[in-house]
Amino acid sequence: MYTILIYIFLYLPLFVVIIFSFSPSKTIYGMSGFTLNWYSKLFSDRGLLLSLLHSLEVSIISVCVAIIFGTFGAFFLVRVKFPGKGLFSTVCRLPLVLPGIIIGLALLILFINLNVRLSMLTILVGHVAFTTPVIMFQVASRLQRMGRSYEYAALDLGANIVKTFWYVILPMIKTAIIGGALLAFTISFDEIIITYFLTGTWTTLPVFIYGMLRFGLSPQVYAISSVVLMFSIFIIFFMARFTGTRGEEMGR
Amino acid sequence: MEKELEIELRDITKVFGSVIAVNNANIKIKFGEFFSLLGPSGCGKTTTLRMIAGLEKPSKGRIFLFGKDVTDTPAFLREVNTVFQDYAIFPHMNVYENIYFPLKMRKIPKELAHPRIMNILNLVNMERFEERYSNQLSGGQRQRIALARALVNEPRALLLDEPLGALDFKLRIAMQNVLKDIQRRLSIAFVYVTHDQTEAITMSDRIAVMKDGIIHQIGTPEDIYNNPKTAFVASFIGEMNFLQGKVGNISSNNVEVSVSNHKILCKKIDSKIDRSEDVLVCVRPEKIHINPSNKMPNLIKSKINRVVFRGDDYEITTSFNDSSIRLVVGYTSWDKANKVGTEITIGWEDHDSIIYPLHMKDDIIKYA
Amino acid sequence: MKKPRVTGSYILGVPIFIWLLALVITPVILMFIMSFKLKEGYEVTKTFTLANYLLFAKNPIYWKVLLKTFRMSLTVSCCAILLSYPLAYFVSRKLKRFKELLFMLIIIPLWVSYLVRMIAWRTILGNRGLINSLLMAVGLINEPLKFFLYNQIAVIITLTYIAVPFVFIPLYTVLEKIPKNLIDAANDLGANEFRTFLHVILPISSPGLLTGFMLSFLIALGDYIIPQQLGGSRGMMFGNIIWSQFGFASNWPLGSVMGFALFFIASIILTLSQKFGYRQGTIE
Repeated sequence: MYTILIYIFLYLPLFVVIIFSFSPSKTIYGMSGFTLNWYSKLFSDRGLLLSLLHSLEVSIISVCVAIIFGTFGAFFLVRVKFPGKGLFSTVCRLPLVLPGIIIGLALLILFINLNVRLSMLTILVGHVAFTTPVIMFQVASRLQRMGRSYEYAALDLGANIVKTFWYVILPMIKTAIIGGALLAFTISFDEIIITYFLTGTWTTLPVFIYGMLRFGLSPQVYAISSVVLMFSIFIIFFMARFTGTRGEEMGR
Repeated sequence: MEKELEIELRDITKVFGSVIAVNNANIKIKFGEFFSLLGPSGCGKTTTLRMIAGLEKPSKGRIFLFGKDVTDTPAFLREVNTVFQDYAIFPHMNVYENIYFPLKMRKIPKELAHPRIMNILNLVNMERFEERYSNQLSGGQRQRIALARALVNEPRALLLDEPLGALDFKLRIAMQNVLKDIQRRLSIAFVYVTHDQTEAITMSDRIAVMKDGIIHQIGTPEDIYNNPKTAFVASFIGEMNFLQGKVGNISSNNVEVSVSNHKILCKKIDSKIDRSEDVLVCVRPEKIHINPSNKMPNLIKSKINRVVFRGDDYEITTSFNDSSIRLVVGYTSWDKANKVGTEITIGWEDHDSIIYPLHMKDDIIKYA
Repeated sequence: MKKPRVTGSYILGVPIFIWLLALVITPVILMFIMSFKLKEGYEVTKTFTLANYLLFAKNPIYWKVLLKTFRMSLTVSCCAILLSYPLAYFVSRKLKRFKELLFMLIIIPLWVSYLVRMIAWRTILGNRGLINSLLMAVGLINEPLKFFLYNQIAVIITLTYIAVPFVFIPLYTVLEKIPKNLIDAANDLGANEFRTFLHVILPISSPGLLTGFMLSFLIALGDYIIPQQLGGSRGMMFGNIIWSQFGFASNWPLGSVMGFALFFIASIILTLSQKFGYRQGTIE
């Protein structure tokens, strides 16, 4: 039915990329064979491997930082009474919801004003901007659902604040933190819109791939794209297994 | 086809996968009748109701509404409406729009609809609530709106699926009276699903008692109470004592059953009973008299085990040999001198003892 | 029972406020300030001027592109909804067994790289791309058709492709929550399937519809990468113009004006959708 067509629409482009990555000819004009040539070339491309490493660094570090900011933020949002929670919530969400170009632009101007040159640090800051809300709202919704009764019960049974947090609260929000972290990691690893604004000579993988596009489409591009594709799918299944996903939690 | 039949179910069976939800049901509901489907959870009563409404299709059998075969007619074309268990009030419409909805579906213009809506609101005592939304109403108010919405189209019969289940006790009693009153005034058939036997008995003209998809008995409340056809019906309606014994002499008037070395005289039943057969003997607690002054066919000396004060009466549990019997004594009739351990004489008439084949033992509903 | 002090105190808010201040509030304020400055050579002047705003307001090209971007974003959102709604309706209401699986299948493209998805469409639409190769192989045409790429349509298609999962998720969430008994009640009271959809399902799903529309619109509004790669000159969007202020022209103040304009528009859209997202009597 109609729905099947849409699924085809969604997946066909991806298959095209994968298939073309095996084409031996340098252009994509017709497939004249099947080769893994381009994949092996990936491993010898130092620039690419370096940018891959950089991407991993940025994503991991920014997620770690985001966990700290985000978890505190979640507790603040859910457990503390203060006016204007709706506004606060919305503003915290801005780096995720606003078009990336605005965030990138605004942060770039921040760095211009501070006379900071574009480097890994600038990219890192940009990533922390949007990974924090991802984790914060995941944890916040878990905290909300959890309720305070467990804290009260633990205190009633003799645990002090630290013990309550460590033995009762933390284990319960653990999966929310990890789920949010995985989500944030995926978004960060693939991010180009904001990153491109904040990149100097130190590049991440998406920026590198985008640079490759200057020379036109080539099977190399397809090869690396296919690898990224597979990696993403792998992460998703891993995420699904681990957190038991529900739609609302994955949607931004 | 009898002219008076409003709703008829013929050999209706409904299967879900491997589960037989309704097994060969035959029901005839008359014009203006308050008819209840009564039974424990999972007995198929709601499924049956939904088949009448057209929300489920029967696997076998035919359904007739007001003389027409509607088995293949979809729900939105049937002239019956349903009051759902959780009311199903549209959250995105206010009370007025909710009640207008069925009229809108009939393409009745606003000018003509308005007086009808106001009338029905009046009927359920919910005037001045038109602007409210579902989340601004209490349970009882929502229930009345659901009722109003189902009635505004003047359906020829109303189906109600445990509408009072979510209400607290006093409110439930009040609403039972409201419903009965409305039914009498409108003179339409009500098909009422409930698991509460008191509710069914007080409100209905006739009741169908169901278990595991099978209708055990259809009859008036008195009928079902005094002449339960199966042990299940006997146990589900009112309170009942169950004893086990062996059949002894069978005479033209009654049957003698030996229970714990006592001979008990029982009412004759229609199906065949043999001597020495194991049977269930049942007698209702309120039919048992304590230390009766006049001569009763069944007289047993038994010892008091427990005395429970229930507000308007006492429930006494006694035992003789290995059998235990509960009886009910009114507040003023109870002699407080009778304590636990006292031996008393209990007695009852022979026509108050009912016999069932022993295999019905598993059907008995026991509430601990 | 005394409230646990640590989990209730204001101290918890310190990290998030630092984050907010440094990464959200300050940059936006600085961007706003920058819009009033002038760029001379490599330096930014210290004076405040409205010159950039005037420049922006007077130049018809900027406005044309902005309007075109609006139109395109609208188109993208409508297409995304037209594609996603039936899908969400089908998967959430009509399916029993494969619901989870099919839902995941739609989410997956969302987490596949944005870049890869863009590359994929460039491939399909390009001169040496899928469509042209197929058509030539079959013999329908002798030379590659140029009209598939480097125009508005290519950009719209690709942006729709990106947006569909974003629209699907809120729609699915809302549609899934509609209790079955509401549908039963509508049927019982005289509504057939179509009228039930129109009067019950559609209104109740409207918050999800609105959220999806807003997400999709904002994605399209600010995008510059897809127009850069697939739009050519005819498919240029406002994002391109902003980008070029920071790239070649290095006219940061002017770029800030545009950036702030975009920020302003986006904020309005967000506020509007927040307001109308909570209708009276929605299913919570």
